[in-house]
Amino acid sequence: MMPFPNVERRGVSALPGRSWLRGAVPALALSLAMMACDADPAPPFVVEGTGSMDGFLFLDADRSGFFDPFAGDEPLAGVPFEVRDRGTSRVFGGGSGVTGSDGRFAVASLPPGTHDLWVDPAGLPEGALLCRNPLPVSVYLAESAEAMVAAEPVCLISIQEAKEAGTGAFVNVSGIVTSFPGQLRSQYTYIQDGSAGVRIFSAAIEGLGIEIGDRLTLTAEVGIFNNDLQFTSPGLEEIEPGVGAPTPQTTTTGAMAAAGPSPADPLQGRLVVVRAAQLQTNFTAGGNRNGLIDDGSGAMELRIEAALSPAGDPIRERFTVGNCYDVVGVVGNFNGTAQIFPRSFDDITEVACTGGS
Amino acid sequence: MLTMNRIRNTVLAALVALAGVAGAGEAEAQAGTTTGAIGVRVLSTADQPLSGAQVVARNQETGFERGGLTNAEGRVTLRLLPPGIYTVRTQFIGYRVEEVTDLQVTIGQTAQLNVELVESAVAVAGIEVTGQVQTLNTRDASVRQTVSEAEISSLPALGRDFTDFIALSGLVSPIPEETTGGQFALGGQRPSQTNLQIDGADANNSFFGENRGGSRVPFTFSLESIREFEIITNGFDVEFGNYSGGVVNVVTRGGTNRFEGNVYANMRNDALTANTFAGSPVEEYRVNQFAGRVSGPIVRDRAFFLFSMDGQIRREPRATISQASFLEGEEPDEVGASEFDRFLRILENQYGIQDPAASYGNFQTTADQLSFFGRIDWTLNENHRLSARHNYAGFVNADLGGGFNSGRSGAERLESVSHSFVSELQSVLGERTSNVARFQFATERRPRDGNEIRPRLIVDNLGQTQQQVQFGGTNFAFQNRLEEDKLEFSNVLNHARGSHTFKVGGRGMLTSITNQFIAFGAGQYRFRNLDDLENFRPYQYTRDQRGDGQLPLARFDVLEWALFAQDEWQVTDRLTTTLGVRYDQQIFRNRPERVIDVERAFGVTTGIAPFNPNNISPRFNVAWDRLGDGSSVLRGGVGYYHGRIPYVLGGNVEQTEVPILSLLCDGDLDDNAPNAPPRPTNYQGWNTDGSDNPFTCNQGGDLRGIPTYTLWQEDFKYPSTLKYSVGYEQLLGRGTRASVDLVYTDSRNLYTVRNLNLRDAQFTLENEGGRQVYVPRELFTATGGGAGANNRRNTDFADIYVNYNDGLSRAFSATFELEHRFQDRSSLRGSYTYTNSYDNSSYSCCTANAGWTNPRVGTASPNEVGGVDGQAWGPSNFARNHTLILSGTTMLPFGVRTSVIWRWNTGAPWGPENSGDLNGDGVNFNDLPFIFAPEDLPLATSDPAVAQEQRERYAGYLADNPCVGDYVGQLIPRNTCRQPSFNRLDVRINREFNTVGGQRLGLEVDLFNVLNGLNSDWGRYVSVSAARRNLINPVRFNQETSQIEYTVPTGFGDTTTIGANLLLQFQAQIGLRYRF
Repeated sequence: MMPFPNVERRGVSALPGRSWLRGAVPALALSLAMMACDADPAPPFVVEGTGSMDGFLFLDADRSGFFDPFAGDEPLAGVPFEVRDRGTSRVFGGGSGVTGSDGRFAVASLPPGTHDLWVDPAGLPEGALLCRNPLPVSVYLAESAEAMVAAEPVCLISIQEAKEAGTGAFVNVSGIVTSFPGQLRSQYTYIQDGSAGVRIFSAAIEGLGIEIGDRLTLTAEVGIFNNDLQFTSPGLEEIEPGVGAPTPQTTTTGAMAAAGPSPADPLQGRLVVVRAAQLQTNFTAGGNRNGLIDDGSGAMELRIEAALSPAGDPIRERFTVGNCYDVVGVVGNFNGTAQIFPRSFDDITEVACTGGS
Repeated sequence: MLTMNRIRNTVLAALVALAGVAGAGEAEAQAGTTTGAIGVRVLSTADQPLSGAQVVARNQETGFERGGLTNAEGRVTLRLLPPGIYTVRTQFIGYRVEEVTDLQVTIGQTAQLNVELVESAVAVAGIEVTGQVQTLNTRDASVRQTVSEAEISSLPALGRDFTDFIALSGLVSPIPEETTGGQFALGGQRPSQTNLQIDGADANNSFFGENRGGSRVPFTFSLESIREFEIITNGFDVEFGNYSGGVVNVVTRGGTNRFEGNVYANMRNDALTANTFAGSPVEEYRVNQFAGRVSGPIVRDRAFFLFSMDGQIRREPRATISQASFLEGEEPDEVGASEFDRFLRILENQYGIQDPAASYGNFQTTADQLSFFGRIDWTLNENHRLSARHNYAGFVNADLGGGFNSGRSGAERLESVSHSFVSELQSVLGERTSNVARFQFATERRPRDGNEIRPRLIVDNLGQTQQQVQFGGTNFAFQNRLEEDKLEFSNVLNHARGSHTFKVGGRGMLTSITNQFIAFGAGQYRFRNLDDLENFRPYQYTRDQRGDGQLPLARFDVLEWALFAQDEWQVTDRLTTTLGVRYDQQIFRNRPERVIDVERAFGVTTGIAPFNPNNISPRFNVAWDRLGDGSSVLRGGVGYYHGRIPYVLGGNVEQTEVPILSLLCDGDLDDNAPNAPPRPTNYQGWNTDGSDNPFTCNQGGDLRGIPTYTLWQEDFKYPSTLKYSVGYEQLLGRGTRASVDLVYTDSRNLYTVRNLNLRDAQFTLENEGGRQVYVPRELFTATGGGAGANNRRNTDFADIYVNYNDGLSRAFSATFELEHRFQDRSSLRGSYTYTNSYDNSSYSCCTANAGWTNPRVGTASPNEVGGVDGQAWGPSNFARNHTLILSGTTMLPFGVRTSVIWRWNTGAPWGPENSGDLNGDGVNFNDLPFIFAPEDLPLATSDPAVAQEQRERYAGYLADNPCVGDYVGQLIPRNTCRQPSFNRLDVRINREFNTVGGQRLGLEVDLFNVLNGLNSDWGRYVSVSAARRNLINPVRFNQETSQIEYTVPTGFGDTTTIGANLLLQFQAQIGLRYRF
């Protein structure tokens, strides 16, 4: 490879003596003078100037996102904070302090860009949580970025996180209704999000006109009943009707059976479908309407709740042992035994057996 | 070893020395852009100049005459001569009339003729015919190569595009597997810095910086309409501008006094084509071309016409995914075949696609072209000559593009229709003054429409081979259209006074652009499996769109104008110097809207259009007729040039006045999350014009996404180039010519693109030469996936591109050429060209993102490409170090004529890469790897046996590839390796038969890549493909050691043969021509 030389600044001094030049001089001189310009590489882009940040930390008791003293919101004073270079622990010069008595704070001379505003959780009063910490704040040149930081009594988390929070935990979740109150039992409402599904046990929800596909945002307490995890004492924060019914997740009887003993398993509480599962035993009479189904991956219980099949319903005549069915339902368990709960008989469709079972 | 500085200084010193030879003399004159000139010096037998001798040049084909009287020095120059064969008649009272015949006049050159008159008193009165003469152009130091009418008509051409013959110049950097039709790099410069002009008028597509019609169009002008052209890399004449690489100057044919014409047709097909380089036969391939030309006098010796047409019907095979393709692999994938069948059923039943199977499998693409050309030349009187011509070209390319996995549904229909009308008035305004006025109106329309522009449906994995399948969508043809209209005027006035000939002129061109374009405008859904496709459960939806929901539209005008003046000074009988200056301006007349948010965030000025008032181009050249007889010339020059920028740079700004929003919906549908993909449940009911394609995520509402903008740098400058050249040309006996030309080019202010929203460096990789990383250490992955918004300065924005201008380029070339013309119309031309070209970015066009991601970077980001010897500095992608070209034509026995072109050149530069993003700038593949010693290479494996195996493999790569192994312990510079050389031989065999009345029938057989035809192992295009350039691939960033850990892939540096390419596989073309 031929090495490429360094560039030298060029000028007319390198030209031979004057007697040689005559008419060529002006053109050459001008050209070479122009070449001497711009020889250095352009400098990197640098943003010059600074901006600032004005902040306000408060307890958002009603979780409205706004400061409303009449709703119990109050400023949080004396809480340490830092303005950090985003994604790092580097604190900008003058970028740390504590909130004032009015919950306010200000940081000057910040470089423009998006920074992390971090609030020390240890400085918060008991029962106040920062659901997003650090908070990204964009600072613009010669402007003051408004940073309103709302500490909340609870944070919206995924259903799976809530299920794993443990019995007695107070959680805040949002999910789509897959089974409305009264469909299985009057106290049963099933919701799910992308992480998991869960049963809400409360008679207070019935009568609100909730339908499958609505989204519920609520606070609740995590509980266990006969090894089946459920949320109790719900406090409904928001009902968004008609968001859209989730599509049942395709699974197998074996997968559900395996998930049975684990109340916090993501499959528990989720709306699922199993294909061509063969009914292996007939339903028991009375309130214990359980039959065994198996799609070839392992048997599990198909439970027909009383709301679908009240006393006197000829359930044994509806289904035939040895036949196969596609079954849609929510997943639960009873003392560690997995069960699938169809929400209506429309959730059970007889199909040809594929031979897998 | 020569260095570029020494080369440059040597060229410069020789130039200055040449300039120093001075004296006094008489004027000669300058040739034009579309015409040539004849310079005559009339002497007596006593070597005394004869003043007042009458000299008349007559075009032997058209009867066109131009005459003049010699001056006190016995000189006269006959200007504005249309190229052709001339007879020059000289007479003076008391002297015998002398006539020289068959004098070739070529565009842009002055044929020099010395005439010695014999006194009639000492000789029998009458006419002395001296026959053919050959002289050199001794007036001008330009570095140019002319492709003659004879070469155009006799040499083999694959596709009948005259630009194929541009490859006869060793200064062109071809890409063998791609056609050069639309773009070609000259002298190692960017293709956009080549300026094509036809009949003196602009013939570029200014938007993309390419030929009008673009690279996909087989030809715009019929080969039947091209007379000759020249490739000028150093055109010191100030009439030439708007380039830094070179000018391709073309003139079209006109009619003559002879009524004549011909019809022509040829064919190529799969039976005449060799197997692919993988050994498979070509099927369903055919090309038929047909052409015709008729020309003749309207009024003998005064007015002429020429009409020509050229057409093409081309069908090309295309193989895409199908049920069968799953079964054709080494391990047939029956599951995949079955699932593909289900994929089609779902498309039909759930998405309402009619006959989806028709989109896949094997089909033919269409590339049909039709062009018409008409020209009229009218000699109004002895002083004025008017010509006018119009060219139409229409092209349809159906089922273009798309991928293997999407088949026809992902392809598009591209059309290109162009018109150009050019008229020229050549006027002689007295004995010493002439003028050329020129006008052009040209239009071009390029609509591109995807075959299916509803969102693309992608299913990730089918079958055991985990093949991805797609339906519909388009990346670049979502109601895309480009319209370019041009109005151009130019005027050049020549005036001779004493020993000086002055040229002054100007040119103005107003271009109106309309461009509607958005990448990824159709959007696309991704599904994990067929169940999800069937149940309308995508896991992702992405789409780019403009913030107001409208399609991005750029409408703007660009005004180019230039003024120039030049003095050609006949310093002595033998020495001519030319000093000129040109001023260029390129004005984007529509100021874009301000982007206040960007100003607030980044402190830059927006709402500006580029304006650079300093585009002054002084030029000087000197030519020395060493012996004074036109048989040898020493020439040299230095000049400054200002190139264009492709207007698409302005289009990128205009289109983001309302920002482009990048929508990403990847929330969970089970959660009905706000950012979950919108369900395509009603896909079959959506309008097929794309108007129903979703522009929000699951919950509707306002347009969403993070904005991208493109801006102009505040003091944007246009590309500027300084060129030096020194050359020598010598006639070696009758018919033989030899020349050598040394050219040095220094370009700066080449356009680049910066991204303002890249944050400052966060940390440094000490074990990789101090590579700076733009993502916080804790978030860095080095694989490219983790950069996300973490490398952005302000996360309220996506990319903020800025058209910048810190591109640099330097190139040196030396061309040695030898040409011999035999008596029997045979000729042979051979040349060797050495080119060494370096730059810091080989970006030529088009999107802002392409400009930002093009430079290869080492320690810093693409925002700091650096200068000479900076991190991105290296051999240009357009460098081809050595090129040998042989071309010629000769008669064989039995009236068979054969013509050949053989070209050999060393390969394009390349360098080792890696698959990741080693500095977190958000761009994969642009980072120069650090060349570790094998024992120091941080590996991602903890298995000693695996580590040992990888180190040995890596050590082997270094040993086998010195272009990599020589750089152990440093960040490797760019493009240290070279692809293998490539050569091809094309041959034409032609035999004509007389029919009736002097009419002839000709049979032409063109053979392309003959070596491949002789042996399937020969003539292959072998290269290190992109997949074989990954030296080390990052796996993760080890937070504890602060080192990137790598794996060593297999196959680095291995050469592979391109599988199938219908430009390279041997083909025969059979043509018939009937001349009347």
